Amino acid sequence: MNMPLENIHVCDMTAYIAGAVTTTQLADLGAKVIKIEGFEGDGFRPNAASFVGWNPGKRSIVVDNTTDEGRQITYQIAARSDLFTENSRPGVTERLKLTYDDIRQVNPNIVYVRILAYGSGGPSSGDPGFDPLIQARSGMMSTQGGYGKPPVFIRVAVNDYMGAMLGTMACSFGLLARARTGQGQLIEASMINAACFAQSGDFIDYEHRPTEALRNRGGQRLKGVNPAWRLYKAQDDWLVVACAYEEHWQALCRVLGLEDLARRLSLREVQQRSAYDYEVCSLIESALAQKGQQAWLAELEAAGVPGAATLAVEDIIRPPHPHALANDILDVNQHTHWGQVVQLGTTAKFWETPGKRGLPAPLLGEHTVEVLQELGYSQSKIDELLERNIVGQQGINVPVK
Amino acid sequence: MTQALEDIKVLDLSSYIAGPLTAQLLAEQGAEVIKVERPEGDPARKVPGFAVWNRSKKAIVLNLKTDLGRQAARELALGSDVVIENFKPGGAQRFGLDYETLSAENSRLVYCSIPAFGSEGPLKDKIGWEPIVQAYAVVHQDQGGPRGQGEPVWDVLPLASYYAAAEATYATNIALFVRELTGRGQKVEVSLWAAMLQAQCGNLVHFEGAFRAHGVVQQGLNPVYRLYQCSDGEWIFIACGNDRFWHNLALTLEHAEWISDPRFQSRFVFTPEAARELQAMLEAIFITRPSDEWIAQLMAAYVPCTVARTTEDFMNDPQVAANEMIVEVDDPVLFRTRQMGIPVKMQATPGSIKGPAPLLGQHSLEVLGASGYTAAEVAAMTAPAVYA
Repeated sequence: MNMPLENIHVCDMTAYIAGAVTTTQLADLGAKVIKIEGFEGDGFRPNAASFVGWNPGKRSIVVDNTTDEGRQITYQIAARSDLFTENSRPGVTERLKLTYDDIRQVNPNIVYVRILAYGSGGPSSGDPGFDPLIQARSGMMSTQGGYGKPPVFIRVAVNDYMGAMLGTMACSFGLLARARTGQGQLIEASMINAACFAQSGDFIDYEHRPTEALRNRGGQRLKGVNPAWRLYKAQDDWLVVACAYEEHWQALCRVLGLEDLARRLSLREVQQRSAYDYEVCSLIESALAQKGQQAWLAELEAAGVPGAATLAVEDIIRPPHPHALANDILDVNQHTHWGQVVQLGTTAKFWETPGKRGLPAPLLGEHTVEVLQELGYSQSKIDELLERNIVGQQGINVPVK
Repeated sequence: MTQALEDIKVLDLSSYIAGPLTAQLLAEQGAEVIKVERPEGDPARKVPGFAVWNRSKKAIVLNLKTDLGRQAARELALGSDVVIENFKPGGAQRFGLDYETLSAENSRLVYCSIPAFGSEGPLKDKIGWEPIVQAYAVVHQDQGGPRGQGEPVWDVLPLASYYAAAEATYATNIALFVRELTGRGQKVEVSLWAAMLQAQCGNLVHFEGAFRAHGVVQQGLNPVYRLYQCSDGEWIFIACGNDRFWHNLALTLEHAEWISDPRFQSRFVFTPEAARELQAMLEAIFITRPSDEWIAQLMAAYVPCTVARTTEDFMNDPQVAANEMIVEVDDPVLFRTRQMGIPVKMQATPGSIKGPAPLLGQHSLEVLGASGYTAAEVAAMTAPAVYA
């Protein structure tokens, strides 16, 4: 056996981020994923670069599932699959006759995973589910921005990606249960559940819970938690210092030539102060402004003070960061349309059966003909289906910039 | 079989968030989890989240600095299907609990390692506090804006830990799945750093001509995908994720001319000037009426939007209740709590919460006694070094 999911076939009806990343994470571990799209394509194809990040490792086929003939093609793919994944709004699979009960008719042991925005029931189940709507509704934006201040839109699409993690987790639980019992089943995850999960340390209520004022950790353009657990600007660029123990604090002050400060205040006392405490922060800031980030990080490391560089996206991929290379988490590929692409690769590491990134993200319908041939369609039949717009091969499908 | 991981034994050697939460997710889909803590306890016992991340487990104390403690840990590990660890680099080797040592005697073992930065590379020995990981995983700089334009911004939520827990859970399940086919276990590794990058895979892409909107704004970059303040002081998020929604917005605001204006036609290609202009116009409109009126009008016009709430509000959100994502748990420390339910809903083999987070060492005698240790031996291997 080479890859963990090398014999697993996925009939993938998902789009956007949470669904798309769910199945890319399966593809990264060897699953054979066929992404089924309508003629208009995945709604996030216009985000061209991100689409490439969300969809590598899959093949794309364009099928009009509103027609009986199109639906039969989807059934044929589902019949040969282990997993069926979808993230449409509740009601859509019913209309298209692609529900769990429909798919079970053609494949009784299918593991059918729904990665929904809100869940299949409840008052909001039919609402559109973009990540920031869940960020806003779930309190994440208020937590980040600070209570009573403008909420802050978190740049990481928190709930989309956590939805994807829960989606892949659902697939993995389902495959494991099926391997142990022989039975497939319906499994559901959602971005609402993801928002609970990604705040699970705060999403708890009890009688003597600290007051709102004490829990309020957010702020506008927030710099940290306290003067010893914070972002600071060195001469050229920013860095993080994170002192968890008294010895870290003492060493930090020694490195910065602030021995007086360390004598005056213990870490425990510093931790009681705000991240904007002028007295302490201005001393540290002035000291750090004397040298560059790299020089300070080397000195902090030598003194045993936890510190970090604030890397940017380009530091990871252009050129590849040495730590990313050493851990083999980058992928360089030749995309059919975009040419050479450098992007994040497989991040879950398996010692005996390692995953490996396969194809780059597909063009819309890039594999329509190939997949139909595998299903046993003759060339003349394929031509006819293309001619009648039952299936399609639309190509790149991105707007002109 | 009633649960996906029924009869699977997990030894959870981890602490803080990511490792314990991984073990909790497995526990609530059926695994039997024994959590091992140092005599001082998991440092996360100081925060309320501990009550959530450690539900459905048994807890024992082992002082791994004693021979007996290491011996008991090793025996428990060899009798397990899964070991989860997030020791500091080198810690597992020091205690004889590394993958190489354990797998030599139990080839079926799935060994789930959740380091901060991964087992290779120049950052591998870095201490793995959440903000250190986030800084190297581009979170702070990306939140702040392009380097040189926007100062990095600190993210409040410990996202790297949560993502690592979720990714490590699916990796562990898939390793167990592979074991069903091959009969062999293996090591899986998900670092906090790699998981945090995985949650930005749409940004970590480069090719000639690749375009990514970026800026220093904290309330959203795209004028039709951002926060606006209303007359009651509340903020609403307008999420026109595609042009259909954007055109709905223009129509309901009675600005049909925006749709035919070449500068505003598609939300995917606003120039910076057009974006600024549109944002100013929208700000002036939204500030004129209270949030509830706007939400009613926009939802009716099929424009995705919502009011920014607090996490406390979210705990009372009827959709959360409908998903059974808020549950009552009687915790031995916090007493009556309301907390997170089970995030993955399996229809045929549903998960369940098997009990609150245990007290420190609550099951030491029971578990170690069942392994054949006497009460005196248990006392010796669970005591802090100073008493041993």
